[in-house]
Amino acid sequence: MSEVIVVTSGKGGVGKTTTSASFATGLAQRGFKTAVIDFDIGLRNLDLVMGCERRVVYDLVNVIQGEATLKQALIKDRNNENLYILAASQTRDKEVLTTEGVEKVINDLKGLGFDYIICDSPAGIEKGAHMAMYFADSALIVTNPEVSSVRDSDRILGLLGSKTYRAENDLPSIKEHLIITRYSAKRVNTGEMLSVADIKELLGVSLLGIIPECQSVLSASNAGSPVIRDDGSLAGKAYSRIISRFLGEEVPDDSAKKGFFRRLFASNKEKELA
Amino acid sequence: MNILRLLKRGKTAKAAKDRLQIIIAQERSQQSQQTDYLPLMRQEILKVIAKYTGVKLQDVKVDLQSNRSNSVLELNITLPENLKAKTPAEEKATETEEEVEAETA
Repeated sequence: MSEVIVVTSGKGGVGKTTTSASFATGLAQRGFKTAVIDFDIGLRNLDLVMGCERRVVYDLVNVIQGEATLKQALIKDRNNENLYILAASQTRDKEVLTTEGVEKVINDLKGLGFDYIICDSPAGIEKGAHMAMYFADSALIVTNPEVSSVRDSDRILGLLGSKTYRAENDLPSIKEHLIITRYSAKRVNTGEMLSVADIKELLGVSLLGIIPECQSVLSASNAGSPVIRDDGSLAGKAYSRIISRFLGEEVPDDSAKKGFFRRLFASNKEKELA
Repeated sequence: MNILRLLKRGKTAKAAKDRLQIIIAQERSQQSQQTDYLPLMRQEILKVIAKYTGVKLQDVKVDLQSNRSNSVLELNITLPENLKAKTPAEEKATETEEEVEAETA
């Protein structure tokens, strides 16, 4: 059984691609055969975050238009044999994505034995975003604790419940998981930032995890290595917990308070939590 | 100095939450299926009103507000000037509004 997961947010710059890269890598690390598809036609970036930008020969659009086979276009990750990347086209218009074309790609990936197919959605609610979510079984909604991001996430939740294959065919609805990124517990405590509880209440979606504001996210994308591979970093650990929770394992709360001594002797890395 | 700045900045998260609660509720009600029938219903109500008074489309405002237990359908109709002129008491008013509130499950 394959599961199609869309990583979406509505707003740009909140961490969709970072989350797609780490989520796909994390599932592959656990032994699941995973494909991650970039739907941001014209503005591809997943290849850069995954560190395979120089190995892109064929892309999603080439496959849809029959200019390359799916096997030719899938890029195997250098560090994990379970992980494959399907890049977006950098030159074409996003209108070339068709429902039939995307459906065929996803069905062919299922046929190749992929356990998880991660669809990295572009920002906005245009064709690319629509196609990324259309065949999803689950959705990761990436939200920043910030008004415009929360509002856009709510809009996306509305679309997930109405403009997808599952919604249109009266199938069980898409499983929605909230991921809050760039979170700063310190700023929440001073009343400057929306809290996890606030966002959960506003959106009414169950929380999968919190990614703290962390310097290692930038370092990881600089290096082209998903931040989940940096298992000493706060963000890397947080993504690992997200994978565990997604797979149904019991994991301690992300916002669990540290003991007095741990806080006193917190390492510099932990102090990155600005 | 630092404390002063902190106090000045205040608890803006509360404001963010309050504003989001309002806008999200509004946008959800606009998106919901209930709104699908609103344009058509507006047209039909207008036909009836126009038959007797001659009100224009832009003078009818239809609002639907929903919360968990009930929905309030609000029709706001601005009656034309020539109707007002009929009764002296209403002559001074610039516009007459009539509100019809109907509660639906």
